[in-house]
Amino acid sequence: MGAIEFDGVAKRYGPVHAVRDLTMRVPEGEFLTILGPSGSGKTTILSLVAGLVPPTGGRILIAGRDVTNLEPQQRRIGLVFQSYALFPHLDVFRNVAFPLAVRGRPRSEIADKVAAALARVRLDGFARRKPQQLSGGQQQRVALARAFVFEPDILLLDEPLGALDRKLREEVQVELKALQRDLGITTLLVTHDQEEALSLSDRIIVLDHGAMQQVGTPDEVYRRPANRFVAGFLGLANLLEGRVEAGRGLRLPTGELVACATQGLAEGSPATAVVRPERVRLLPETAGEGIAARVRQDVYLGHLRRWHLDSDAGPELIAAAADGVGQAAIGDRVRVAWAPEDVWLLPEEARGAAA
Amino acid sequence: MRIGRNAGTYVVPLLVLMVVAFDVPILLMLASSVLAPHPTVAHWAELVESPIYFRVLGNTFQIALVTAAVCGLIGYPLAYWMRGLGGRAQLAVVTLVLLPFWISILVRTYAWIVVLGNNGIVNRSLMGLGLTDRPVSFLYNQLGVTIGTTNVLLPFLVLPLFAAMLKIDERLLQAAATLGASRRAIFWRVFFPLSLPAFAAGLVLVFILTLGFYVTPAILGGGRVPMISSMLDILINQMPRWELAAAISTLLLAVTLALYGVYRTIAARAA
Repeated sequence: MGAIEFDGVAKRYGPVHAVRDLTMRVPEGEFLTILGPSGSGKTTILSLVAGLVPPTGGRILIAGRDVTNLEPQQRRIGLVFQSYALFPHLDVFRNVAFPLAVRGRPRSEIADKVAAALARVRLDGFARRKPQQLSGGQQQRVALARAFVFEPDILLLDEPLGALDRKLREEVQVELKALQRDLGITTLLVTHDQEEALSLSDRIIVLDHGAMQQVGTPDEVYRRPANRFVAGFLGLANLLEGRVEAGRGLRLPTGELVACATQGLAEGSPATAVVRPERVRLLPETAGEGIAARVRQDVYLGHLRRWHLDSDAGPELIAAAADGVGQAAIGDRVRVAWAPEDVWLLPEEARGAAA
Repeated sequence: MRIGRNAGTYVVPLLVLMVVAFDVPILLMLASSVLAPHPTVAHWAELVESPIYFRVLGNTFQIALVTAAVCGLIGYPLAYWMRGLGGRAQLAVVTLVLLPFWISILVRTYAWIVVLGNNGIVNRSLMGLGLTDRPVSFLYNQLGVTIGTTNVLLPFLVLPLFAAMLKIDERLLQAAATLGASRRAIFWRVFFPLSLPAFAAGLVLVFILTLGFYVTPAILGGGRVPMISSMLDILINQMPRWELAAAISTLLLAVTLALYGVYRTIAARAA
C-alpha cells in the first residue's frame, strides 16, 4: 500500500508531448481517475507508472520509493489491461497464481491466496476453466484477481470496463468500488467515460493534450469546472458568454442578466457562465423571469428527457429533467431559468487551455 | 446459387484431370504391391523379412529426426531474434531466409559440394586456422546429408514459427512483467508455451519433408547414405522391382499421412 507521487513527469514521442510536466500526489488508499479523450495521454501516464515506457523527464515515486528507473517487475504494481491480457495457455487458477509463482511462494500459500482472491471476485468454482471459456465480465474479474492477489502497492486499471456491455459495466463499477475500499489500495483508473469517472473516484484528473486541466473531487470537477474543456467533457453544459457585473451576475450581449455569484471577477471582464442542463427549468412563455426560447428538439432518454432550445440569448440551450417532470413539445415557446447558485463562471483566460 | 454452380462447373475439368492423371496412377501404383502380377502378399513378406529395408527405413527416420532437431535448434532462436527486430531489419532478414527458395535445390546442393569438399572453403579455413591437419570429410556421409537437408528445410520451420511468434500479444509479455516475472520467467512461462504449438508443427513438417527427400540426400550422400527415396530409385531403375517399391511407397505414405495428421492437430491448436 502506498501513495503515488508525480514530480514533473513528462513524456514526449518526437515532437508530440504525450504528457506535460505532471506534478501531483495520490495519497494512500485514494481512488483516482484519469479522465480524458483518446489521445489525451491518459494511457501514457498509466504506462509510465507501470514502467512500460520510460519518461522523458521527472520522477515517479510509489510508496516513497523512486521507481523512475525500475523495471516493471520491480515496481510492485497490479495492472489490469484493457484487453485483460490473460494468459490463454493457463487456466484461471494458474493465471491468478502467476504473480505468486514467479515470486517462488510455497505451493500451499499460493493455493490459499488464489482461492481467497477468486472468492473475492466471486469466481470460486471457475479455477480450472481456460480464459477463452469465460464471459467478458468473468475474464475482467480474473484479471482483477490476478492484479491484487500478490498485494501490490498500487492498482492500475486501464479502461477495465470498456469491453463490457452497459448493464454489466454498472454492476462491475459497484463491485470494483467496494473491492477497492475493502483492499484499501491506492488505485489509478484510466477512462474516457465521464460517468465511470464520476461514480468510482475519490478524485478525478481531467486531461487534455497531455496537460492536466483540473484535479478535484467528482463534485468539484462537475459543478465547478476549471475551463470550457472540463465543462464540456464532463457531460453537457450550457455556455453563455458575457461581461461580469460585479455582485450581480453576467450581462449577456443581448441584454439579459444571468444572476450569479461573480466569484471576485472584475467588473466588465469577459466570462462564460456554465449551467448544467438538469439545473435548467422550463417555464411557460408567460412567466416573468428567465430567457425566452423555442423548443427545437425533444429527446427521450428513458430516465431523462432532454430539450434542445433556440434561445433569444444566442447559442443553443439544453434543458433536462427526469421523465414526467416538465412538458414541452417541439415548436413551443417557453422561458428558461435557473437558480443563481447553479451558475458557475469561467473567467476569460480559462477558455483557451486546448493549445 | 448461380455463382456456386458456375464455380463448380469450372472446377470439374480440373478435378477430372487431377483424378485421371494423378490420383488413379498413384493408386494403381500402390495397388501393384498386392496385385502384381496377381493378388499376393509376397512383396510385403519380402519387405518385412529382409532386414536391409528396415535398416534403410531406420536410417531415414534417424536422419529426419536429426534434421528436425537441428532445424529446431537453429530455427527457434532465429525466429525469436527476427521477432525482436525493427521493421526494416525484419524485412531484410525475412528476405534472406526466403532467398534460398529462389534458387534451385539442385544448384544449392551442388554448391554444398564445392563448399564442403576436401578443397572447399570450409576445410581450407579449418586447416588454415590449424584446427585440423587433414580435411574433414563432410561429404558422402550422414553429416553431409544432414547439413544439406537442414539448409533446404530450415525456412519451412522458421517462417511459420516466426509468423506465430508475431501473433503473440505483446501485452501478455508486458502483463507478465508487471506481475513480477523476470525476463527468463516471461520467456519460459509465457512466450515459449505460446509458441510451442507452432514450433512442434514446424518440427513435424521438417521431419515429414526429410522422409521423402531425394535430390539432396542422393547428391550429398553420394550413394553411401541410403534413404528411402534413393532405395526406391534403385528398386525402380536398377533392379527393377516395382512391386517392392510400391510396398515401400505405401508404407512411407501411411507413415507420412499419420504424421501429417499429428501436424494438423498441432497446427490447429496453434491457430
